[in-house]
Amino acid sequence: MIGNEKLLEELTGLLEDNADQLKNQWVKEMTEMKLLEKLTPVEIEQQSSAIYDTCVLTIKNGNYDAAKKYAREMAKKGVLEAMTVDQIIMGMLKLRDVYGRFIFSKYQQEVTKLYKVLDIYEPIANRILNIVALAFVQERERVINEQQLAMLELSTPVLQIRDQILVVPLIGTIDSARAAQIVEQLLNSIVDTQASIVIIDITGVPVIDTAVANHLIKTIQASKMLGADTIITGISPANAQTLVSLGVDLSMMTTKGTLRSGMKLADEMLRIEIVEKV
Amino acid sequence: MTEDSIEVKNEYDIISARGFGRGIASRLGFGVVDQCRITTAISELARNAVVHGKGGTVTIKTIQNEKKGIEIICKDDGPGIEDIELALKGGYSTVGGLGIGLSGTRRLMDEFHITSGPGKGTTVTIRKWLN
Repeated sequence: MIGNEKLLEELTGLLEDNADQLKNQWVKEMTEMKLLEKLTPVEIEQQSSAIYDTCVLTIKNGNYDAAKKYAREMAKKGVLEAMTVDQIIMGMLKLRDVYGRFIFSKYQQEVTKLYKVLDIYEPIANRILNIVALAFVQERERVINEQQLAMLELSTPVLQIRDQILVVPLIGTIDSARAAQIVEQLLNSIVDTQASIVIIDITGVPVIDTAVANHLIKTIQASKMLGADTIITGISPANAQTLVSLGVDLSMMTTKGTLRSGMKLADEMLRIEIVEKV
Repeated sequence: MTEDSIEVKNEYDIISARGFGRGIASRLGFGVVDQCRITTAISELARNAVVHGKGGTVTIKTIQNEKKGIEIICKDDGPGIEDIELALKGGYSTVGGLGIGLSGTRRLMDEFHITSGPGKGTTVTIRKWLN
């Protein structure tokens, strides 16, 4: 009986010796499946060789690092930009088939040996495909995370509209991460501008539940500590009724229906201060 | 009858769950204020499931018997609530919140049922009837 190591050596030897034939077969089948339409012949040659060699190398030494690295690059840089994820996965499945059929044809006379070789080959082939698929998923997730961060930054401008008045127009959903970011940005702006009044407009916040209310209350308290009073504007009638039913106590908040009336109030508040000083 | 379940694991799932609820409430013919109440109630329960229960499921059903309405079941397999009465009293929170999510949700809806206990997870069923 031949040991597994010997068999593996034999298998990789066969894959290496027949590299050109198998690679051409693979490329031919992918071309027939119209997977490579947008690649130039040079790209096809380079990529198919690189993938073929990486796979053989992985089968040979059982180390998946090279495959992982290659798959990550493929997903990230879009080396195969001209191919969709669907085409790339189909292409990889095809390579698996090409290897598989080759193994069958080589060992068809010795069924016991064939099974043993397949026992070695199948887990490796499956794992390689798993790595490729995972690389794409991870790359997508990375992009989504990046975009979320980008949206966080975009979505909270703090605008100085008078020497001492800041306006924060909130739009969309206020989750904990965004709330923390809003507070930080607002507090920095209060210190930078020496503002004494902050108007937070929540016309664009569709749902005000207790968590959002809690974030608002904490923002108001923190602003207060830096010497700025807060006016909340833009609570819709439906949200106002809902907040009352929820039992959120807004008595410590100064609220106005619209941003316009909030600004008017802020002006009045500032004028009173000026009068008092004189 | 429509029935659909949404898994809630994070903030984004909460948003899709309540968006879905608002859609159903609107199609059933609820007014703007009631839509807002239902959406907010879903938001409260879903957030409880995410924050306390480490995720759960929100099931939204339409009820169309002689009485029409919407039913929302929010279920999680978290640690459960030790003292339900205390949690429902309001002003009590284990995570620094306002502590009025559950009691507020009860006031927003027409019916409110809760089963929970240490190690048993929490299931909250709420209903709102269309007048």
